[in-house]
Amino acid sequence: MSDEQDQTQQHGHDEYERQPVPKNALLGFRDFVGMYAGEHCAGTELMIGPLFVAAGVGAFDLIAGLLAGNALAVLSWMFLCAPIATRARLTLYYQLEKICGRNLVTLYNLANGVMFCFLAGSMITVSATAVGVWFKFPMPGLNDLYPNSFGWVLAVLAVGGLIAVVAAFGYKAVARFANIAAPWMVLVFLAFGFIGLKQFIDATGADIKSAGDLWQLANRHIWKGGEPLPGQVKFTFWHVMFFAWFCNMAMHIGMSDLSVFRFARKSRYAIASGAGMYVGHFMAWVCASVLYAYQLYLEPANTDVLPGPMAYKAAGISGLLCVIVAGWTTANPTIYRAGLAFQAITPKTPRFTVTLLTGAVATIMGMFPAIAMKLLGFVALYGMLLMPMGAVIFVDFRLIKKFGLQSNYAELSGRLFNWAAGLAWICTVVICLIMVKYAGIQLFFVSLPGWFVAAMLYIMLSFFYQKRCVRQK
Amino acid sequence: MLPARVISWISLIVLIGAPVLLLAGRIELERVKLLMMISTVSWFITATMWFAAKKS
Repeated sequence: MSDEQDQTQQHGHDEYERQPVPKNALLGFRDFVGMYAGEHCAGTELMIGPLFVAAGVGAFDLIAGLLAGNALAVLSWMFLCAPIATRARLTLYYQLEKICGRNLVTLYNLANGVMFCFLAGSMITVSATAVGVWFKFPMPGLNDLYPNSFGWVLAVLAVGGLIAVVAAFGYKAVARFANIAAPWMVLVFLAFGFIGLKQFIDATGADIKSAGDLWQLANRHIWKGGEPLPGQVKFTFWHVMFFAWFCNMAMHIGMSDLSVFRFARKSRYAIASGAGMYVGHFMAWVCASVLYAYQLYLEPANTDVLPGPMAYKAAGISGLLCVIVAGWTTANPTIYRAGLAFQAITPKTPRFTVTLLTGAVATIMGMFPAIAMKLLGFVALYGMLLMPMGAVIFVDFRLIKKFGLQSNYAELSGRLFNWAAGLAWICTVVICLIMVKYAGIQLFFVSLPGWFVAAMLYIMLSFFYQKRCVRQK
Repeated sequence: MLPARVISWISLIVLIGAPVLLLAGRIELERVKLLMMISTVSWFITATMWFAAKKS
C-alpha cells in the first residue's frame, strides 16, 4: 500500500493539503457528529474517569464541572476554530506555514509528534491492563512511575508492538473496525455505569425511589469529595471544568481541527463536537469513575487504576474486549499521526520506518505507568504546549490587520521562520511554566491566561519584527 | 443485508438492555455478562457484514 493511499485513509481528503477545500468536497452535519462521537470515546476515558475519583472529586463538582467544561469546549470549537476553518478552508499545517514559515512548522510538528507518542503510550498502557487479567502478572499501582514487573513489560511490548506494526502497514482495516466498534463501545461504556450503579445500590443497601435518592447515593458513596488519594491533586468544580474545557485544547483553541472543519459547509456544524464531548467526556468518564469508586468502596486500600480488571469484574469478556478495542483503535491513528508529523521532519525516510520507530517509542513510553497514572496533568500540559500556536493563528486571521500589520507574514516575506510567532510560542510556554512553578497557579488553569499572553506577545513581536524586516529590505 | 442489519441492531438493544434489567433488579450479573458477550459477538459478525455491503 502506498504512502499516498495511506494518508488518504487517515485524513480522508488529503488531496486538498495545499489548497482550499472546494465546494463539492464539503461534508454534512451528520458526518461530523459521527466522527466526534467515535473519536472521543477512547481508551484513555477509562483512566480519566477513575482519576477524578482518585482526586477526591465531589458529585456536584464532577457533574456540574463536566457540563460546564464540555459546553465551553464546544463553544471554543464553534467560535474560535470553525469560523476560521470555514473561511480559509486550509489545513492547520498549511495555515501555520503561511503565518510562521516552513521551519517553525517543522518545530511544531516535532512537539506535536512527541505529545502524540506520550498519548499513544498511555493508550497502550490501558490496553495492556487487559492482558494482566489473563496472565496474572503484577500490574502498576496509582503512584508507580516505572514498570514494576517483567510480565508488565512483556504485555506492553506485545500490545504496543502489535499496534505499531499494524499502524506501519497502514491501518485501513483498523479504521474500518473502529467504525464498526464505535456504537458497541459507547454502549459498553454506558453498561459500565449501569452495572456499577447497581453494584453500589446492592452493596450500600440504598433504597432508590427517586432522583433525590440517587443523588444522595452519588454524594455519599460514589463521588464523596474530601481528601484526594495520596499523590493526587485535589479536584474541585473549577479543576473539573477547566480540565473538561482544555483536555482537547490543542484541537479547538490550539486550532488542530482547522484540518477537520475546513470540510464543514457552515461553521455552526462545530456544534457536532458536542456529541464527542457529552458521550466521551461526560458519559464515559462518569461511567468509568463509577467502576473505580466501587472498587475503592469494596477495598479502600486497592487504589490501583487498572481499566482491564475493573471492566472485567463489571461486564466480563465484553468489558475486557472494550478496554482492548478502545485502547487499540485510538492508539493506532495516534501513532500514525505522530509518524506523519515526524516524517514531515525527515521526508526522505520511508513512512513505514518512521511509523514503526514512532510505535516503538510509544511502546517504551507505555511501559512507564507514570504517564497513564498522571494523565490528568499530562493532558493539561499537552494543551498548554500547543495552545500558543492557536492564539497566533487567531490573531493573525482576525486581529493583526487592525494593528496595521501583515497577516500570513512568512508567505508574504518568503521567510522560513517567523520569529514573532516562534518567540510568542516559546515565551508563552516559559511564562506558563513559571506561573506554575513560582506563582502557584496549577497547570489546569494556566492555559487561559497563557492564551492572552500568546496573543499579546505575537502582536507586539510582530510589530517589531515586521518593521525590522521592512527596514532590512 | 436487511436481516443482518436487523440482527445487529437487536444485538445493541440486548447489549444495553441487559444492564438496564440488572439495574431494575430483574436479572443477575452473571446473566448480564453472558448476554453482553453474545450480543457483542452477534454485533461484530452482523455489523461487519452490512458495513462491508454498504462499502461495496
